[in-house]
Amino acid sequence: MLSFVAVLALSACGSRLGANSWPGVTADHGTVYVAAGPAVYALDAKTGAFRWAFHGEGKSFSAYAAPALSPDRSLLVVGDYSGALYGLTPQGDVLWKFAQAQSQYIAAPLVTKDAIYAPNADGTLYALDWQGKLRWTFQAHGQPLWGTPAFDGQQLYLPSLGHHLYALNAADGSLVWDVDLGGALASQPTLVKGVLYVGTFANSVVALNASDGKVLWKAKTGGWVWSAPAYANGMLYVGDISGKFFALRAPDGQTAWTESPDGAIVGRPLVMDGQVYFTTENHLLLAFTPDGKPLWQHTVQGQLYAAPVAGDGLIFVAPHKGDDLLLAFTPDGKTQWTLSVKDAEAALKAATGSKK
Amino acid sequence: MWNTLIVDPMLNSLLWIYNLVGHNFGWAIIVFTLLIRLLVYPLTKQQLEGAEAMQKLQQDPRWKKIQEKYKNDKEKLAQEQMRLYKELGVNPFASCLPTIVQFGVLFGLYYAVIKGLAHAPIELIDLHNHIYPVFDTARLIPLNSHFLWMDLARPEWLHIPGIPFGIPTLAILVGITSYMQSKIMTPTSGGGQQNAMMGQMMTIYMPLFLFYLTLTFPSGLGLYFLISNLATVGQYAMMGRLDMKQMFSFK
Repeated sequence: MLSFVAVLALSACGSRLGANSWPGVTADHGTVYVAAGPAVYALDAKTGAFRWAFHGEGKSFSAYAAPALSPDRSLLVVGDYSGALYGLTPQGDVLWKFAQAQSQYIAAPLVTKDAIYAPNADGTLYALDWQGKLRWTFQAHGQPLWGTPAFDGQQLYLPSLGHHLYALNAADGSLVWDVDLGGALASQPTLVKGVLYVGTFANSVVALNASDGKVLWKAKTGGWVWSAPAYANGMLYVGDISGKFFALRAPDGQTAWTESPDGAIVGRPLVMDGQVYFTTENHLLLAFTPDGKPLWQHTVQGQLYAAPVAGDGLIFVAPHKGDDLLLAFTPDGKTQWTLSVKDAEAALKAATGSKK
Repeated sequence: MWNTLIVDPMLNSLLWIYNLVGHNFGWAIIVFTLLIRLLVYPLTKQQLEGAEAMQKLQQDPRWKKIQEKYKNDKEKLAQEQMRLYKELGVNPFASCLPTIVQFGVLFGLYYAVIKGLAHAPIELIDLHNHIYPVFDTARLIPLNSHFLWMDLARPEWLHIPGIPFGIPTLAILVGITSYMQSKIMTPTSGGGQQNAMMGQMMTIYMPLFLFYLTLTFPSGLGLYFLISNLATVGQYAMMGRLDMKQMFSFK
C-alpha cells in the first residue's frame, strides 16, 4: 500500500515532458514578441499594450524559443516543444504548420530572405521555404540542437550540444567543415568579419576562422559559457554559469576586465549605444560602460536567464518564475512598463474566448 | 537537505556508473537499480519476514479469540494484542522501517533519474548545479539518453514498419511485470475478507497505474520500474518464496 502511495505522490510531484525554459523575446519596429510557454504574445514595444496572443492548435502548445521575424516582417516563425513549427502573419494568424520534427524547438529559427532554418532537439536542422515546405535536412549525429545557426549569406554555422560546430552550405545542407570543440554548444555563434566566436560547456570562449573552422584562440572561463559573446568595437562581452563576466579582446581573446555580479550568467549580453547590458540568475539586470565601469543595476522578481533584447530604444527582459512576464527599461535604468503574468493570462483568456 | 543527503549522492552515483558503462544512460539506470535493490535486500527480507509473521499470527486461534472477545473494547483489544505479540515474539512494526527506507530510496532514485534526463535548458542548468566537481562536465554533457530504440528523456513508442501507429512496449512490459510483482507480494490467505479485497484491488490498480505513468513520463523512469519489478521477482526467487502458479494466475 505504501508503494502505491509513493507512486501516486511521484506522479503528483514529478514533471512529465516538462516544458522548462525561460521566455524567448524578439523586438522589431514597434512590436515585441515573447514566447512564454502556453502562448506567444505580441505587445506594443513602447507601452506594453497587448496586441494578440497565439496559443497553437492543440492543448499541448508550449513555446519558449524566441519567435523569428523575416527580413521584410511579413512572416513570424514560432517553434514549440511538441515539435511543431508555425508560420504566422504579423497579426498572429496561422499561415502554415510544419510538424515533422520529433522533439522540442529549443533554439529560435533563423529566417533569411528566402528560407527558414529550424534546429530541433531531435538532432536535425530543418530547412524550409517561406511556405513551410521542407527543402532539406541535416542530421547532426543524433545530438540535440539547442542553438540557432549563424549565417553569412552563403554558409550556415550550426552549433550542437554534441560539442560540434558545423559549417553547411545554406542552399543544400551539404557539410563544408565540422569541428569538435570539446564541450556542448548551446546558442548561436557570433560572426564578425569572417571570424566565429562561440561559448562552450568546456569552460571556454573559442574563436574560429569561418572559412575552414580553424581555431584561432581559446579563452578559459570559470564555468560553462551558455551564450556566444556580444561583439562591439573589437571587444567581446560574455558571462559564464559560475557568475563571472568577461570583456575579451577580439583579436587574441585576452581579458580586458572581469566582473563577478551575483548569480549565473546565461543570456548573451547586449551592447547598445555604448553601454553593455547583461542579466544574471539572481534577478539582476546590470549596465556597464565598455571599459568596465558599473552604471546601474536593477533587481527584478524572478530569475533572469534570458538575454536582454533591444527594441525601439528600450531594453526588454523576461524573467523566469517571476510575477512579471516582461519588463521594459530605458537605457538609463528606469522602468518604462511591465506586463504581469496575471495580465498576460487574462489577455490570453480574453483572446481565446473571443475566437470561439 | 533532501537533495544533499539523498538525491545528489544518488544522481552522482548514477553518473559515475554512466561513465563506467561507456556513457549509456540506459545501462546506467539498469546497473544502478540492481545495485540499490541489492543494497536494500536485507531490508526487503526483513519486511517480508515481518509481514509473514503477522500473517501467521492472524491465523492463530488465540488471535481470533481475542478479536471476538474484545471486539467492543478497543483499549482492551489493543492491550491483549500487544501481550500476544510479546508472547509469540512478533514485532508488528518489523516491516515498517524497511518500507519507509525503500520509500525514501524510490523517491531518491526517481529524482536522480529525472534530473539526469535533463532535456530542457532549465533542467540542464539544474543538473549542472547538482553534479559533484569531481566530474568533467564538459565530457559528460549531453548525457546519452538513447538506449535500444528509446530516447530515455521521452515517453517510449516502438514504431514497426508497416504498422501505422506506435506500440508502447515499455509501458506494456511495466504493466505485466507490475502485475507479476503484485501477485507474489499480495498474501493469498489470512487477514480477513477486507484485506483480501484490498490485496486484489492492488494487483489490478497498481499495474494499471504504473502502465499509465510509463506512458506519460520519460522512458528512463519506465526502465527503472521494469528493472525494479524484475529485481523484486528475482529476490523472491532467491528467498525461495516464488510461487510461479500464483504469479501467473488471474484470480
